[in-house]
Amino acid sequence: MRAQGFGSEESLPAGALSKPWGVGQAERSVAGKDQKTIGAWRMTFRRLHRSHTALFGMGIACLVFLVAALADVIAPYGYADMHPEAMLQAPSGKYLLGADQMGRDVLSRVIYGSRISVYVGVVSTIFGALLGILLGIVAAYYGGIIDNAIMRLIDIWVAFPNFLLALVISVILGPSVTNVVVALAIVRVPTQARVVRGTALSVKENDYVQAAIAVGAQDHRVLLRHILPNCMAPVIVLGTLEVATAIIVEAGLSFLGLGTQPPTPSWGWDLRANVVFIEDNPWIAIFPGLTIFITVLGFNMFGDGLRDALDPRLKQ
Amino acid sequence: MRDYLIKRFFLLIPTFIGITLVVYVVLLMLPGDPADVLLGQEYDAALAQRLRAEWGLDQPIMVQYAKWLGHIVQGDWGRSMFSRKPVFDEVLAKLPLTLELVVLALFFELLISVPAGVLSAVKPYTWWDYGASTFALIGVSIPSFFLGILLFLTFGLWLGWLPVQGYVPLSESVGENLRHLLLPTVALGVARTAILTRLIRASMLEVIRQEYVTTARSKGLAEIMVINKHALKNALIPAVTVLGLQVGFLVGGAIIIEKLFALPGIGSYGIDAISNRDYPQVLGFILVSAVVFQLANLGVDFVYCFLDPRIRYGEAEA
Repeated sequence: MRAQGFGSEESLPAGALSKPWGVGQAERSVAGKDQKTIGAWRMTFRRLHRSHTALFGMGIACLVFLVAALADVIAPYGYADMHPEAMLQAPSGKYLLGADQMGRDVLSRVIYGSRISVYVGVVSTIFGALLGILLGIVAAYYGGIIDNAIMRLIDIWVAFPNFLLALVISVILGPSVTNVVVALAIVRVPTQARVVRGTALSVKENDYVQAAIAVGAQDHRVLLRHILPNCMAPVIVLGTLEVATAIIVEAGLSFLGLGTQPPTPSWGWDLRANVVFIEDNPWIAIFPGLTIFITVLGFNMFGDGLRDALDPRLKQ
Repeated sequence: MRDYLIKRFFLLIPTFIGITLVVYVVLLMLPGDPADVLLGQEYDAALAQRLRAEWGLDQPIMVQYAKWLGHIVQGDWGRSMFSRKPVFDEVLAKLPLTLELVVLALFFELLISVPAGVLSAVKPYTWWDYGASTFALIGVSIPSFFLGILLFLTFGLWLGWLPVQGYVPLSESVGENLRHLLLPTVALGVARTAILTRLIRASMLEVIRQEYVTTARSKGLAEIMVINKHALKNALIPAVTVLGLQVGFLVGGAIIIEKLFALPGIGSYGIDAISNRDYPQVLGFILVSAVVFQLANLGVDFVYCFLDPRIRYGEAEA
């Protein structure tokens, strides 16, 4: 899935699981101390380290997290501080990115706005992934009626354009940051569930899983200890890319006035509020928009790099 | 195959029932009904009760839903609670603009992504390839509404080449219609173009390594024939799937773009409906969006058969 792509599974490392994760330990014990084997994760980090675009993307993502965490310290002004003398002022030494129609510092609003974007992006992705993993793994493991029921439910879930679904849910729940998180998490579940189910179906057939079942391991142990860790690679890649999507969708909902509500600063809302002044004061809309773009670009570059690192065969 | 497609077509019915039922039930269970919204500050309990009775909101939810569904299949989609206009007529009047926008965006996608994807696959690791990859990365990362604002600012306000607001129906002037829709089309289509370019590149790279392509080359066929006649058609199969799915994304994306460019399409209609909690209008909007999305997916199945005659749905292998 790509940002604003609202995810298709096209970019997933479907073959990333040719070598089971977590098996490195077992291999090592069999191979003995002298024979060094490189764990799959370490190999991934090595590959990731060699990709300049992935590192650059990771750098942007880390910077956004840092800015969000330190907003109180680094923002020159409070996000709601009004400076009547600075109304619609162009970028200057005092207001580095200019000031909006209420005389609020655009830079400070952009800095504080990162908190909402990061929060919505990360939290909705985590919740969407958790529910998606649960549904996908249970469908794959139990099969039969359970699988059918879950997958038909997913079919209905995706029978509706994603943005529309997010929009309808956030309207139904009412405009607020928490409700946007819930809406985005719900929308992301089907993609994760399908990807996890697909991966879990093949992982389930592996000898080590069958062996665990044969020795009488309980279902939850097989699922959590043996199947789940080996389904994590595509989940992580998809998750990284979905943070980018979630940031765009949150901005889009706020742009329509259905997401974050003022006075909480949000890049999407600022874009909406400032667009009417754009002809003479383009900076007040361009900077929040540019920030969304750069942040999403960072997560996408990182996600792409991670995908290539997890399965180099996909990098053609 | 015919049986499969008929079956697929009839499977749409339970899907629609599922979607509308969920939305209907959830909408009606919300606190604060349309009577509250309409009366606002001048709320009067007796008047609100009368409005609820008039709109049928005092009946059990399932009764209301069954009645609504019965009317839907007869082409009676109810009336807007505020404008009192029939929803079906309004949807029919506004749908052509959104469909035109979606079709133009799809056309724009194909126009850019097929040559870009093919070129970067045929000339991998060249500047063409890097250029296309960079475009794809930027395209998927830029929000459509921000791109729309940039286009609006550059081509509409600064250069003054294109109109930034309003719409001229196709029936009045084709040229003016396209001039008004050019910026919204690009804003809507760029992200999907980027995805499609990547996909076509990846799938072309896989196809041109196949033996039948090598055979075509060794027969002495011109490279352009090999690419166009032998490779491209097969490489397009995954692209068609994504293109079908993109119709849904485009319908969703059109909401923001229509709002930004003040286009009176189904997206703007839906947003207004949602903001006013105008139930018949919201349901009409959702139903028509779901129908378009589902029909696009069904269309994909048809196109498959054209692209790959080996695909025979539901028929036993010979």
